[in-house]
Amino acid sequence: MRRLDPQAVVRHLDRLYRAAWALCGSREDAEDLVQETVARVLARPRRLHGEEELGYLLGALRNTYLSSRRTASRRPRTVAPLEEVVAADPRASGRPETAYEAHELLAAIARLPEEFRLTLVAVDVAGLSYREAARMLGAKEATITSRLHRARARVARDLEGEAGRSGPRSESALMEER
Amino acid sequence: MSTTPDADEQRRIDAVTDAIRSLDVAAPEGLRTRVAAMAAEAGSSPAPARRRPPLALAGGLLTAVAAVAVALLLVVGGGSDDDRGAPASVRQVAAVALRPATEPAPAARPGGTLDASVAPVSFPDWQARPPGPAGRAWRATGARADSVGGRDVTTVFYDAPGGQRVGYAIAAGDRLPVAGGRYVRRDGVDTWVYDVDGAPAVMWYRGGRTCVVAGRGVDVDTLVTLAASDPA
Repeated sequence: MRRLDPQAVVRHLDRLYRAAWALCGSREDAEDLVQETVARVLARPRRLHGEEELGYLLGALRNTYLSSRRTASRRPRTVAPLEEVVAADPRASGRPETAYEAHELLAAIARLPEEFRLTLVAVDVAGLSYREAARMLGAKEATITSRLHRARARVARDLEGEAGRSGPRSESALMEER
Repeated sequence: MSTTPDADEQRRIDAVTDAIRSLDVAAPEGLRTRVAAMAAEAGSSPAPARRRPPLALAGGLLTAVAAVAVALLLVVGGGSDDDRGAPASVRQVAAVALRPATEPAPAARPGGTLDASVAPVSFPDWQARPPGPAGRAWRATGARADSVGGRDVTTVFYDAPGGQRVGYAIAAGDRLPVAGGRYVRRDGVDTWVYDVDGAPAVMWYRGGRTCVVAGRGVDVDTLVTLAASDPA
């Protein structure tokens, strides 16, 4: 059993931030979620019970997200203009098409039903193995495989539809699809 | 429900999967700075106490039961309604710092501190050592003790010559989560700014404790200056 190195939150910050953005669907909420998660994790020494650092941190991010979701939904939300989203990522500032694509992808993931979203975020966004994702989400690996396949298909269909629309797909439209 | 995807759909799915896996969005610099500061603070905290030996277990249980009983008495017998139930938050601690004093000010001690502390953090004597580059003295004028979300919160109040008053509260126990404050770094000190019912409050960590200074009619810059001047 190892103790979690506090610097792990710095090492994995970019992945945690991407995961948070994909979970929340907004840059501002993602920042809040990561900061809240880090504060909780660092509030006292943590021990890793066999899992890797990233798996532990992503599990903490997920728990913080689930516990704070109701409160967050009551707060007024500010939607950042696309220009700000692009400018927020200095590495993408010279490639606006790529930045927009990233924004679009993260928004599409955020529109997934929760169990699909958590699975896709764990594996494709954060980079956990199927086994690690299964452990974090308390599911069988076969379930992870199935959810992942369906989540990817939904995102692909969503983006395909997005290309032919002027606005984002509504939650009610996706609910009808479920 | 999904049907078996045809070859075109599978190609689209594969392309989307590749795009997701190659996402290259970096965390904003502000968040990176805040997280690095929090990690550094956590890394410098003292090691946790070792687990008690088995022979001490019975005594420890008795102590824990007594502590729970005392906590119940405190919850039932004192404190305001908003202190009960939920875990402590920075905003709750700040709200305490905005209340009136109920006890006299602690005496000054040699070395620029007051005779009040939340171990290991002592309250500063801002009259003997005026904070900030401008050096305006703040005299300790009162104190109060509260329980917020099961934590002891000790507050000392300071008055400036112009009539301004701030409450400096320190919460016992582990650091409280930041929970949405606006990050400001001053003189190497990481602080977070909050609005508590229209009054500004500034939080920072010191000696592993959560410190909050708040005051109605006091500007944020002054509060950040006070926080940043606090000796580590």
